[in-house]
Amino acid sequence: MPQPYNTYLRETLQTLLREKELERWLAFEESSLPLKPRPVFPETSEACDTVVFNGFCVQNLATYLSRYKGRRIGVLVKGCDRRAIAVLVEEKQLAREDLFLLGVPCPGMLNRTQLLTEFPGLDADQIAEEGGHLSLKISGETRTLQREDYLLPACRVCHHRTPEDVDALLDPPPLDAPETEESFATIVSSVGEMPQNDRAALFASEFSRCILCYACRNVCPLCYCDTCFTDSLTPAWMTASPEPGNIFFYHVNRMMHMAGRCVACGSCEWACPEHIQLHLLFGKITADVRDLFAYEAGIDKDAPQPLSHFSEDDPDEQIG
Amino acid sequence: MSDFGKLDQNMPNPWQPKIVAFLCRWCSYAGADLAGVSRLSYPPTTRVILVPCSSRISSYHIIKALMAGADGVLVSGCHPGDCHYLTGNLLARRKFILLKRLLSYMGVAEQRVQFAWVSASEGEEFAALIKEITEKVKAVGPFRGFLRKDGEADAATL
Repeated sequence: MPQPYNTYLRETLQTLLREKELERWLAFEESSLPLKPRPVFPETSEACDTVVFNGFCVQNLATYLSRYKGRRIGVLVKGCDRRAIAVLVEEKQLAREDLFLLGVPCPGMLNRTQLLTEFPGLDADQIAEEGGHLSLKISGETRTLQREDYLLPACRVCHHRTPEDVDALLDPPPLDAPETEESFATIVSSVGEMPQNDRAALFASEFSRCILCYACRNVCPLCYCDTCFTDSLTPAWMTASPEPGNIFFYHVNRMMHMAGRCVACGSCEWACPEHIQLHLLFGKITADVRDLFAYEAGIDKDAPQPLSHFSEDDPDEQIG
Repeated sequence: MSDFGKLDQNMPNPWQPKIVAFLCRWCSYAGADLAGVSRLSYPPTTRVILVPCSSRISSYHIIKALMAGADGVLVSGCHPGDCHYLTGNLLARRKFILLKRLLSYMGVAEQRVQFAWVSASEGEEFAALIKEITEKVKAVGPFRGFLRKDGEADAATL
């Protein structure tokens, strides 16, 4: 992102912090890891000086809001953060009036792992994001890449990048990046068309790397149960021993909990230390909920959540 | 266990599937009861678990049954519209459709996890259903998708 943009963002945060009498902001700053900005919670004008926004601010900030219940907090929201907040408000976990939402029209987030694999040692200073392009400065040479080739899977198919119903929207947008025609249905049907054995082998191979660290659960803005089923001892559904049964149990049940709630922010996949392709799972459940119940979490705010509701005309196709 | 093993080896088709059947108290369990008192015969492959309503069953119970060594799972409740609690099976139906699609997508054979509506008066239908699902689970063979005491996990048997 061009440096003037970060300056503009910081000034906006500082003005709003004062004018709207916010306790603090939730935003991003650079961390000690390359291309991995971390959340920051500035309470003062000076503390806002480290805030950045670029194509690597993947993490969904709504995850942190449960810590600040009932306090006046400002949040820098992308489309998916806004949707997660909408679901949390609907589930009465947050009060909308406590929050000040500053929307940023998201250009789609970039795949850090893919970039670091292709260009080892890459640092944030070497990347300039301009429109639909990325310019990398590597040992004196400039490489130009197509931005859409390096988007995260969830961001590639996102059609809700600009947050709606926010208190203020950053204008102009940081980048003018085009959306693609694809949807999760495209990705999911390519897997669904594979022979059954290949699908079983694909997920067995993905899950074989899972160490049940629960990073995907911890980073998820919508996993807020006091006692997760993974930690339940009465009954003890599963243990944290990474065996195929436990791993399968964990992922299937996590997905069933996300059905009709997942906003497809991709934070879980981003947080996974083993780079498991979790978008194949949450993409499937999101696509199915949309297909069966015509519902999109965090968008269809007036409709009841699909799994707490029913219709007599629901499909009976796979049930005898 | 070993005695049963010996007995099994002398039989023409030693392997019989283990199927966990979650039956709703008001319809399917009564249907199974009717099959029993009507002296209908059906394969002894199911282990019945009585539940108050089909909506009591979540994906936890189904996957846990497979983890615990079942080769197949059946969930059965009242026909839509006939629920004792009015809407339980309608809520369950949404959950089951999503779960069934997800499991199938992840490569689990469709025969492993089955759902059926059986009413209290359908003793014959219940016996026929158990015959049918037993054949279906037999067709896909023993389940070794997860690590079990008798061997390594084998994704090809999901």
